[in-house]
Amino acid sequence: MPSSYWNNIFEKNGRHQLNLDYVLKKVPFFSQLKKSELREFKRIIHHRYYKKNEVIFYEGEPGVGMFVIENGKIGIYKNFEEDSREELANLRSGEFFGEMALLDESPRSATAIALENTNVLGLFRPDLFNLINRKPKLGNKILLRLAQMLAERLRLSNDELQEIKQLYENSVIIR
Amino acid sequence: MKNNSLYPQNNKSNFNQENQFVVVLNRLLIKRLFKAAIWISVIILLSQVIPFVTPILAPLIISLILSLLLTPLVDEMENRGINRGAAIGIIFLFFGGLIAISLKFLIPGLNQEIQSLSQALENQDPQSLIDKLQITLTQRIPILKNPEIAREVGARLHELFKSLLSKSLNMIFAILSSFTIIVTVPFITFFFLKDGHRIKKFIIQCVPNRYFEMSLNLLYKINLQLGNYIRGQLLVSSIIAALSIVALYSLNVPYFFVIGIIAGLANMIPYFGPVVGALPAILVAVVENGSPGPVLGIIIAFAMIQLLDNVLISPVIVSRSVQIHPLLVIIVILVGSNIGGIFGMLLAVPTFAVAQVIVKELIWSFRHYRLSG
Repeated sequence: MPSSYWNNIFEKNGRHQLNLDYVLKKVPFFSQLKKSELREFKRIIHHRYYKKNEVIFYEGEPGVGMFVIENGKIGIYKNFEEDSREELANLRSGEFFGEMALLDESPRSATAIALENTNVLGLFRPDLFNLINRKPKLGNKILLRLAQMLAERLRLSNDELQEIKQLYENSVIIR
Repeated sequence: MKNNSLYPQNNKSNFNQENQFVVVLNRLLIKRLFKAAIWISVIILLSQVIPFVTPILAPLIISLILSLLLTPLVDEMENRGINRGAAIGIIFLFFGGLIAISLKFLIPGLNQEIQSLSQALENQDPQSLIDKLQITLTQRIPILKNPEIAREVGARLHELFKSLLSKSLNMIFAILSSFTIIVTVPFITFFFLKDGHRIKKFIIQCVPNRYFEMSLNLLYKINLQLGNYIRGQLLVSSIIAALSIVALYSLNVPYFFVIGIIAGLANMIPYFGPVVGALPAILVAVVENGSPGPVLGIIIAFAMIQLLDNVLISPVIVSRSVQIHPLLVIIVILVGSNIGGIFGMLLAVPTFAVAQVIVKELIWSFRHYRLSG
């Protein structure tokens, strides 16, 4: 049993509380929430501790939610166990990943692995749906923020696609 | 020379490889032995602890079912801006008041009805009651006119009634009269409703990282399906009970209220339920009238209710997700009746449904998640 197991059970609550407020304020996802809303939100957040090289989730597994890095470093890889392994991102404290899984149960598009001992905060679909049911105002606020974030990422992807298309067309003309 | 010098090196590398292999094997063996020792200690510990834990299992299960039933109501009230603690308080006050009113007005009447029903059954010698039923059956089913078959059927019926009644009554009284249940159930239900999320969070917290997301998903799905199933079953039973009460009242069957409630409860048992539900009504009709006259009316009424249930009520209300093969249902019910009489029959299918949901979700999770590495 990895030592991270006992860290998850006997987490130091006081230290977490202080750091949690600081980290949540840094994340755009939660930065607009009021203090009372943040308090409600903290009730559904899960703390997890991952040792260096421990996998958070594998590509292809059903996703259940998103993670915010409290401290440490996470690597996101495509084809992690194959020769064609490709690093997609290297994330640090305050950054988040896996947010698509908050909306549906589609498989994870990449593997996430702790590059050093890392503390993460997990927000999961069942808890989010339950929150929407109990506190629709707060739930809507979070959903809207999620939609804005996804729209932003879609816009970025569109721009990148446009760039690639332009590059391809230029290369065809040069040939 | 070269060869000479090579041989010892080769031997050395072979020796090293073998040595490494032995070390790895030893480590694996020690690891396995250590794991086995842990499991054996856990099993020994559990076998010692289980006798002490069993008495609190019944209030825990009842509280869990009650909290599953009430959670949507509490969530809805919280949704309307009422603090969760206050919402639970209001619901407890409401149901507490309802139970108090029932105890004051309904229970004495119900008690009287049960007492006079049991008196009526006691006044009739069980053998004569069975004889009467036998006569009715032989009139309806000609094959039973054969005295040997009729005697055999009579003896079997007698045995069945005796064992079912004694087993279930003992069980029901043991559960209801238990003081600890009356005191602890509201208390535990309150905390399940108030701090259910904390309990779930703690359980999840104890799960190793590799199984964490899978367990979270599993717990959520099981909770959702079980909640839907239990709420659905209870609603269907209430509707069947109400319909049976109305039908029996209009057929002038005495003790219609108690029999209607029994029919509603028995409806939770698939296939056997309607028969178990109709039997008391037929029995009472035979005992009270001394003739099988209203039996046909009762059978038709119960058949109509069953038709309504199968065509309209159950398909609309009960979650379609919990489906059990008919053959399995019969086996499960027979096992349940063997363990706890009618009470066992009542709990058999819901308990099996719970186990089925858990196993189904576990299999799904094992297929979709990588559990090693």
